Formats: sequence, structure tokens, C-alpha cells
Amino acid sequence: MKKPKALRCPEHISWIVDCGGLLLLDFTGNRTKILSCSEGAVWDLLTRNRPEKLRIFMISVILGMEMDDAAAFLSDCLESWLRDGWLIPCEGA
Amino acid sequence: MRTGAPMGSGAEVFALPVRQAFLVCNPVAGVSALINGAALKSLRQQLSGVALPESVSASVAELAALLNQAAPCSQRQDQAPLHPQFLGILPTRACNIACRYCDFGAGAASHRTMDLRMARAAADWYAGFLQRSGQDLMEIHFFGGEPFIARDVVETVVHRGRVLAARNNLTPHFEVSTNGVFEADYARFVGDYFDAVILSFDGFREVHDLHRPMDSRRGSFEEVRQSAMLLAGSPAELCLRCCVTTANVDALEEIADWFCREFRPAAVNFETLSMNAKSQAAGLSPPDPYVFARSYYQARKVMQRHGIRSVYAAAQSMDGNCAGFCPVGRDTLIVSPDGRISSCYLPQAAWRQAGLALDVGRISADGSVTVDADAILRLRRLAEDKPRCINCFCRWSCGGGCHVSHTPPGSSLQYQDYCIQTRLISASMLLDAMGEEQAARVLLADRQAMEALALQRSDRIGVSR
Repeated sequence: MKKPKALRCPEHISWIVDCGGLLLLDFTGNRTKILSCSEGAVWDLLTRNRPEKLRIFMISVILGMEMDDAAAFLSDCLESWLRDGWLIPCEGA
Repeated sequence: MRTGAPMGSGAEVFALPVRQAFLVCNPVAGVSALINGAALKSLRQQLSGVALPESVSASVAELAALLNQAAPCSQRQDQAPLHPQFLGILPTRACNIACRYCDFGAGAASHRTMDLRMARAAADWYAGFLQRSGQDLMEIHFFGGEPFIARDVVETVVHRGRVLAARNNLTPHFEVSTNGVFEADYARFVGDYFDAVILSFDGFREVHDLHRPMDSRRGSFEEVRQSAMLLAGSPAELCLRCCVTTANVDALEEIADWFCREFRPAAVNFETLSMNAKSQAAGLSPPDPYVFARSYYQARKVMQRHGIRSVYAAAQSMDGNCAGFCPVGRDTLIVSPDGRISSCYLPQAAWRQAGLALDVGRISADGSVTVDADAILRLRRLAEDKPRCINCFCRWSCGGGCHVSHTPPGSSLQYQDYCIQTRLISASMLLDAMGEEQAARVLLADRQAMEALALQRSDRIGVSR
């Protein structure tokens, strides 16, 4: 299993929370992305720097998943956001 | 001659002296009038079925008909299925500051926090219940202790609640009562994910720090002011809750003005101190109820000019539900860290000491939830069984106040300070609503007139119960 990279949200990305989920706004790229409430929970825990192990545990509880499934869900979210530029690696990571 | 219509058996008609005049009202029907002594005499006759001369009776008969409307209340409630006002979550009883008047037992509370799986089970049960019963508002409130020192619990419930709401087509509404002592970074989460934040803020620095120190060395004013600023700029509705003692009662007008200018809250709630051993030891006292009523009224006027709502909970709603403003009696389900489900957020020891049993269910370790229908029904009737309140015109909005500290079983029939201020504030609000602002001002400037109104033993126009 690969060690997860430390990621962060770049300054030009912002977001709005509503009851249907979360809307990401890219002020540089003039684009948006809608996250479901499940993905929004991952985004929230990640952007507030909640520790990795706690994130996995909380997501397993929030989504009613086994820990392994929660870890895989988190990993999928992070990979996709990193690929699309919604997240970037932290300096020095 | 015109024969009067005897008062309907369910009608709640009251008369209160306002200097030389009388405020007559049926709070449930939303009818009130300011009349003179002669008109009151005619009204009494009309309502007791005595025939009156034609010349007197037309307007009195019209007023009597308006006042003579039955109240709904218990019959409707007894039949109704479970309908929780909200789901309450108590993530922990512990707190990160040391308020000198805290009656939530936070100082001595266990640092236990709710198990995350239990928190999820509570949210799951509630969402399932709402769906089964065809309700669509998912209202979850957090209390403490200080909820935000058990952030994992709060965040789990908020995110789980949002997932469940989206899945089941429910509208989520999250509310939190907090001391506001958290980092600036965390205010973004609070402002983004909560619909309403009730922030305890007791006014200017000197009094706030006197009331709500962090510890023995410093106050919490700076942290709370910063949180109020950040939340004021967030999407959440900010309600400031100010505890009133002798130390700040004379400054309510200035506090209200400052709050309105600085933070633009949705509402400011003024509540007087509930005396307890801790506040007594700290030398804090509740204000004189007459002084508080006058000060509250002045603060209310200032807030009206700013277009901001002022709240004194016991005088807020005349909605025909005699359960008052307290969550007890409104089917509320509040989950404690140990899995008990109660209708009250105060510590179990406090209500047990008052002779009350306010538990209504339990969440077991495996996540199964039981709610005791008999206990719910018993609590619905609790507010009706208040001998002190039976002849008071405020019983519909106040409901006896807090069942634990104001009207526990066996409490005296005499009006307490809490009753006095509630009666004066309610009367002045009724006068205001009729456009009789001047009458309210004159009343609240005249101690003798205030006493005549506040201490009247029975407000009923008909036979006292």
C-alpha cells in the first residue's frame, strides 16, 4: 500500500456548502465541480487537516462502511481531485 | 336589552390592570384590547350571561365574542403521534471555559464523549423515523457542555445527517449552542455547516469576563468577540444569548445597540441568571425583575430600530401549546453521551433532585433505539399540571418556564421573580402589538402599577380555577 501524499487545496479554489452537497469553485480556471454529501464529508475533513487515521475512521462511521472500504473511498476521492487540480501536494511532501 | 353569551368553557380570557385601564386578552386567540373600568365591568357581565342595556352592549358584545374563543391544547396533544421538536445531541458534558454561573454541571462533568457509532445510530434512527412518519424537516440541535470540544461527534453527526437527508429527501437543519471559544479556522466549519448558532455573549468585556472566564486568570471576551465577528459574516444565522445579572441589567440598551451594530445578529436573547450554588458562591445575582422588565423593553426598542429580533423566551410564542418554550413536553429527544434519551438537556442529577423523571428512551450499545411512549405522554401533560400558572395569562407562552428551576413539582403557588418579569414583559408586548406603546412605557416607569399587574393573583375574567 502506497503511503498517502499530503495534499492541500490551492488558494484559487473555494467552496460553498449547501444541503445537497458542496460546490467547488476554481477562480483561475473558471470551472466548478459539485460534490455529493459523502464526497463533501471527505473534502471537509481533508481541508481541515484532520489526521489520516481519524479521517478514515470518521468516514467509515459517516458512510456506514468497513474501514478498508472507507480508506478506498477516501483514496479514490483524493486521487481524482489531485488529478483534476482541485488539490495539490503540500510543499515538501 | 341584549343577553350576553356566557363564556365558553375552553376560553381563556384574562384582564390585567394597566394603571387606570385594563388589558383584556385571550392570548391563544391572539385577541387583546385596552379598556376602561366601566367597559371591563360590562365585559364581565356579558361573559357571565347577564343582560346589558342595548346602548352599552354592542361594542362589548363584539369584544366578548372575539375573546370568547376556546383554546386547543391538551386534547389535541394527547392524541397526537410522536412528533419530536428536534433531535438533540450532547456530544459531551465537559466544557473548555469556567462560567461562574454554569448550572450544567460542566465543571465537575465527566470528559466522556459520545461514541461515534452511537451518534450515528441516533441520526439514523431519527432520519428513519422522519421518513416513516412523513415529516421532512430533519432538525438536529447540539448542546453541552461545550459541543465543539467533542468535534469528532459533532462532525460525524453533521455529515451523517447531511448524507441521510440527501438520501431520504429530508431538509437538514443544524443548530448549536456554543460558548464560542474555538479557533478562527474552526469558525468556517461552524458557519458553513450550521443553520443557526446560539452564541453565549454577556455584553461588554468587563461583565462578560466576570461571568464567563476561561479560567481563574483570564476572560473569554476576545475569543467570543472574534467568533461572533466571523459567524456574523458566515451563512449561519447568529443568535446572541446574553445572561442578565445585577452586573449588566442596567446596560441592556447599550449592549443591544452594540450587538446590533457590531455583529448584525438575527436575534438577541436576554435571559436572567438562574441562581445556583456556583453563581451564589461567585457573588452573582439575578436582577430585580421589575428593573429587568424595564431594561429588556428598552433593549427591545433599540433592536426594533435596527430591525433585529429580541427574544425573551418565556414571552415569545402565544401558539396555543401550553408546553411553553421548554423542549420538555414537545416530544424532544436529547441523547446524552451515555446513551440515555431525555427531553431535557440539564444534567440528570438536576432534574432528579427536583423530583422529575425526564428520560424518555435509550440507545443501546448495538445502536438500537427505544422511545417510551408513556413517558412522552406524561411529559406532554407536565406543563398543564402547574398550580401556580393556572390563572396566569402567560401560561400559554411561558408554560411554567423551566420545569427544573422555576416550577418543579411541589413548588410554591406564589409568583417568583421569573414570573414577575415574564408577566410584565408579556403585558408590554401585548400593549406594543396593539399600538399602545405609550401605555407600555408608562406602565414600566411606574413601580406601583407594575406591582399591581405583576402580583395580581388571578388574571381570569371568569371564575379562577
